[in-house]
Amino acid sequence: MSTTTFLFIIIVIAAFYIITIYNRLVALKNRYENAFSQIEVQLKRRYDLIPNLVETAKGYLKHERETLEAVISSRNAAVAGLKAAAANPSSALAMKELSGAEGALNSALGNLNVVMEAYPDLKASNNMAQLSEELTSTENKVSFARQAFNDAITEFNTYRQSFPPVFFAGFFGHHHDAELLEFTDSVEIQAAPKISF
Amino acid sequence: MNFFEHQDNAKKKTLLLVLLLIVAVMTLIAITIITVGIFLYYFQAHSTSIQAYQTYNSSLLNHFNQLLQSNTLLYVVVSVVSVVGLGSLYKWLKLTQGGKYIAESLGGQLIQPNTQDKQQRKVLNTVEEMALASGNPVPTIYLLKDHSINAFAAGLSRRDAVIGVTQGCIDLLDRDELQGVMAHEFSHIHNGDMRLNMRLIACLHGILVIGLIGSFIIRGSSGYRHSRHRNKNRGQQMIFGLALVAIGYGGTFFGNMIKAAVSRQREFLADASAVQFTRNPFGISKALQKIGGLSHGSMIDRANTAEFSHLFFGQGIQPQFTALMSTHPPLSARIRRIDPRWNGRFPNVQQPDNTSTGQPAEQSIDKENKNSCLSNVHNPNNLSNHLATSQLAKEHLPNTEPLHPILNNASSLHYILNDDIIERMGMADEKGLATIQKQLQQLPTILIESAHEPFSACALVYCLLIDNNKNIREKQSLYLQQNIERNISAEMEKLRPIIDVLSDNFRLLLIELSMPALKLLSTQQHKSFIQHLAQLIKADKQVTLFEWCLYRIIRSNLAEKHYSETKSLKQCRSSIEVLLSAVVSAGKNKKPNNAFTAGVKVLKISTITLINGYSLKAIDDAFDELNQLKPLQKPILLRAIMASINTDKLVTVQEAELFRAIADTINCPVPPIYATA
Repeated sequence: MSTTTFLFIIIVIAAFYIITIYNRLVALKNRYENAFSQIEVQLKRRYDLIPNLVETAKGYLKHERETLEAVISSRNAAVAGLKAAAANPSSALAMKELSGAEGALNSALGNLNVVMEAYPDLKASNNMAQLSEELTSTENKVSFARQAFNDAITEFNTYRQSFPPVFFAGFFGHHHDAELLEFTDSVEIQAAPKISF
Repeated sequence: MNFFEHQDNAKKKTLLLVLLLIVAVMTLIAITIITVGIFLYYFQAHSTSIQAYQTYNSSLLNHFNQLLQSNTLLYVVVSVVSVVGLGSLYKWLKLTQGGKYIAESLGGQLIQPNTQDKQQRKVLNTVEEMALASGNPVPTIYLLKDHSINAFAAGLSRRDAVIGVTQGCIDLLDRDELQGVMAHEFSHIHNGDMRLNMRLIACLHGILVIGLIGSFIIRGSSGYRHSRHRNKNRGQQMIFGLALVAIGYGGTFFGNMIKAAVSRQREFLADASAVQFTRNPFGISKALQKIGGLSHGSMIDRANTAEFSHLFFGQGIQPQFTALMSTHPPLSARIRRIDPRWNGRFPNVQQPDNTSTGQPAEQSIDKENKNSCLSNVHNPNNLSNHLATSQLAKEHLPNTEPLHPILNNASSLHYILNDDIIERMGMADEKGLATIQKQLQQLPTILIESAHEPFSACALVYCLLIDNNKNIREKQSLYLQQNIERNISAEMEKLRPIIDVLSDNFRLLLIELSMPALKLLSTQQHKSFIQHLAQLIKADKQVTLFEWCLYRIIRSNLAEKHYSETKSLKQCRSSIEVLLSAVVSAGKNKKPNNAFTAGVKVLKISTITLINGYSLKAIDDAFDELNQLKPLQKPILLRAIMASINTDKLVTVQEAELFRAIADTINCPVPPIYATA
């Protein structure tokens, strides 16, 4: 076999291989973006529940306006954070902001929970029980979806950093690792409504 | 033609396709040899003086004669075959990723199975009904952002099929029309067109590669602007490249013509089957009319639409030579075939305003909700409805009115297992659709919602595999306590009281309903999910056939193995022996030998005998082998199983469902089986 033929074959194989790397990167990115939109569905549902929660609590907590307002404002911040992150799930900054906003929302909800301890009527109300049950269940779904997202991100990052894709990833526009989504307070808040049953 | 005949037919068509490809490649080789010959005659001639002299003295014909006896011929053959082969192989490897690869390369966005968007829910519900009524797992759905009306079904098998719809489809079609479009897509699945289409894509890609290499060479040759002395080489390279482009694109041109011809035929067939399924010609014909009336029509604005153009519901790209290259028959011809009384006028369809997106369409849903008995079950949007679902299951049961059929007393019904089922296989007919709609309506909302959430779908499937026997149940819950995350078992606690009273004919349905949600699990989640399932089933040390079928269905829906369907019944003798014995022992017939011989009679294989007891591995291997049966051999096996179940003249719900599960396990989609009181 002549050198030219040999070279030609090598080039063809290399080209195929590089195309495979490109395709795999795209597929993995698609996968984590899909995983993020699942988180989005769940978080949206959670953010839709919170105004109802506040509305229900309002009737009982006449003197706790600040706590309630804190919940609402942190909820609105989280909605904005989610919107930004959904527009660009590969942006590390948007991911960090979302998890920050979620943290703030969780601590505001935690405060509300502490306050509610002092109002047995509110806790006993049927509506409130339903809402906190719904909130917990949504919380579980968020954490499951987040686990799936983080798995997908890890898979993408591991592949991106592996040899030889690491040489081509930047060239194909994947300059950075995608950011994991961590929510700090979720365990506490998850436990909180449980106690009220 | 029934499902099996269609599958068989599609397989034969594939053979024809391979033949056509071989002809195409041979033509390509011939053209390449002629090109190379002419090229050598005029250019290479000048490289050495002796050759130049020889060439100068011989005629072109003589030259070809020499060429055909030289090694050059071999080189040309080898390189064309390997380029086409590699190109096709590469594409085929891509396509084995399944329908989602196509949907994603067309820029499709996954519609989450638990989406809150009303419009998207409408599509999901339509697809769900259609899939369940035809006995198929619910496919994943992708959204294309285009404002035209179009849809496609893609995948290698019914298990990894995905359905894509355009935004225009969602915005502009009402439920009937959407149902017509979906019936068309499901008939592509039913008729075995998807795999055929995928093969076409791979073949055409191989031929296209030659053209791609040609254009690569042209681009390369025009790169050396600075070096004057390579001028001659450059010219040669350029012409060589051009020749390759001509060959490649010429090949692609004829390839596309073949593709278009195949596709046009399949589209008429799919239209006809869609009408046959739903018995409603107006849905699909009105959808086609709307395409005609819309300015965007059914155009898909994407660079690679051409490659996948034959997968779509309507013409996705403007063809160059309309009559020859259209992948779809003209709209009016299609409409007239469905609805001969059509007046020939297209309605004027307006794009909904961007500012008020969804406004008019939402009204149409409300209207449609009144017609559809599914509305309350399937529209969990408003909060009060939503909250109701999260109430504990016990509160749910007593006051939900139409619940009685979901309770175990459905077992008093008698089911009918006969040849009609074989004929209906894979079809979503009117009665099947109505049955499924009724069943979905009877199911408590909480179960349907759980099936749509990845998290609760896991819990739901675990619950479905919890045994009724107390001892086994204890072992299973012990395993769950030790191995499953706390919040999943909390979710199971919520679902279990309902599942406990659920009639058996909902188990398979719920599993098929959960598929899109379960496909969203990450690789790790999926791995542990499957592992837990296997452990739950094995907890009792003796596996029931039904449970094992369910397990195999779930596993193959999530990661499908592809089987080549080449074996005959005789070759699978020992597997049939195991399966039929397992069926007999699951039926608890008083005269097991009679049941077994009834099956054997249908099979006309005399050498098999009833065996008592079987191992898990034996039944698993048996299923692996039976999946490889030829399409026309499968219905014989199914008839044998039916005959064996029918011997005691009494088909219970468990037996009917066992039959569906077995058939599903060997990749035969059984629609709901009807009962008489």
